[in-house]
Amino acid sequence: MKDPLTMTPGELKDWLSNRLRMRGPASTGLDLRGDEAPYERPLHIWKTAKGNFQHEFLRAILALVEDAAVKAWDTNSFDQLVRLIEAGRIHEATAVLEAIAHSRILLTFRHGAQLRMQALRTLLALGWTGSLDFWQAQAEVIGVQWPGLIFKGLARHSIESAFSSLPSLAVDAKAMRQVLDLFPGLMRAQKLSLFYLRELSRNTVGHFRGRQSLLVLGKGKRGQPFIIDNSESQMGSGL
Amino acid sequence: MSFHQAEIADSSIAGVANVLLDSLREHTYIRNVNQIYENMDADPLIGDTIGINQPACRVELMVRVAPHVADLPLVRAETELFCRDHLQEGPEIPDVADTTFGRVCTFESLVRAIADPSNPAGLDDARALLRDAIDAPPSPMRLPRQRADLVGKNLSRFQMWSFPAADPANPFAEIGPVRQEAVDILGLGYISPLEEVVSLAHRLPAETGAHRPTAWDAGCFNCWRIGGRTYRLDRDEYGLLEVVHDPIKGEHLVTSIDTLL
Repeated sequence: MKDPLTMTPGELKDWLSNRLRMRGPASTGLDLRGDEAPYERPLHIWKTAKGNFQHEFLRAILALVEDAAVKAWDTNSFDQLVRLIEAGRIHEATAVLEAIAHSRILLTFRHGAQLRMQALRTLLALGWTGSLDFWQAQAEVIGVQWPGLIFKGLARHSIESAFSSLPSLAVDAKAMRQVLDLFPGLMRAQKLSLFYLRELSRNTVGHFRGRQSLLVLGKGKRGQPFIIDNSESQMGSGL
Repeated sequence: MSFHQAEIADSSIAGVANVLLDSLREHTYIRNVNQIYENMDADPLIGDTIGINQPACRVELMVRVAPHVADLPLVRAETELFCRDHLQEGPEIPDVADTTFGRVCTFESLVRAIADPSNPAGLDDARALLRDAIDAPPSPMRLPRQRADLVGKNLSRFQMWSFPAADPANPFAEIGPVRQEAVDILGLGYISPLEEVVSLAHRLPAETGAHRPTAWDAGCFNCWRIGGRTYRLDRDEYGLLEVVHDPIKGEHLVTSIDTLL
């Protein structure tokens, strides 16, 4: 079996495709006990690649993304491909992912909504913002299953817009949990203070009229509930 | 029936044993360059013949790699793939419902498990969520908070290796609080000093069983030994009992996830 560094462009693309899809000999050498992800070795290759090989490796990655827009990959394998792009900060993939996002082609495939979520998640990780209208439109397409992604996309423009959309996005406890899971990352990425988040949360609470149970995430040590705006109890997700 | 004995019994796989030996040899593992082959050759949990509810037998591996004997790297690759196809075939451990299992893994492996294909969180989001959960100050609410934050999230991508804790009230008493001792006694192999290592303890959900690992579960991991116990990295001694099982989720934690220093 050839070392990827010595492969032809065609062989490299095939190797990468099989590696990410956990198919055949290309997918071996994985440290299953250490829970190594299939994209990790390609990531290491990307980070250490130089010169013409780096160029060919990038072409292989972009070609696989374009292929995935024509013939659907399964969601596990596509996730590995876009996690490689995300972890490798491969900004060169932004244009092709953006084209896929605007075309809605993935939605025609089985599990298309999840594939689309994975593509949009990667775009956000690469620093892409989209537009407010774009994210508001996504609510209809993938917002039921992935409200957290819509919230994060809106927050990229305006944290206030994101919070004002929360009552329509967080329709149940699972949806709310998905949004809350993003708070630690949001606080770091957008340098939001805990005070500011609490204020935004407090302002939003009133809009959950009749759905206060969504705000109760657990019980504190004296039986106090974990809720979004209770400044005296502990909140979930690091608040 | 060893690999060589299987060759004697079946002429169609003549010569495959030596090819396997050569393909699985690891010259950099100075404790025993043929450890992987010997694990597969001597594991008493692996039977002589194909059987129902039995681990795959050695003959099946030899039949699989026989067409590729001219290509040693391909023989090794096919061996790995064979092992991957035969996980958790060892004896099931009875009565695990009330057993507390301990596990040591890297922080980043947990991040990658949390950031699964259905999760809209980016890798940095998953990292931040886990960072906050682990860095929360000691308090009676630390475990409930971690459970709430990680509910529904897998804590492993592939099958998990764990050890049954002798004392559920103190599941890490046998490995201690020190990172290197824990890694050594559990035989985890080389982990970069730059990697954060964490411990966690859990119970299994009702639908999940645990199995004694076979050489197929260990695959080409040369630090593993037959016998159902871990093998210390720093000396020739066995460590703790070990099992393999499907991934568990955050709600199955029974201790908080903590960094080992």
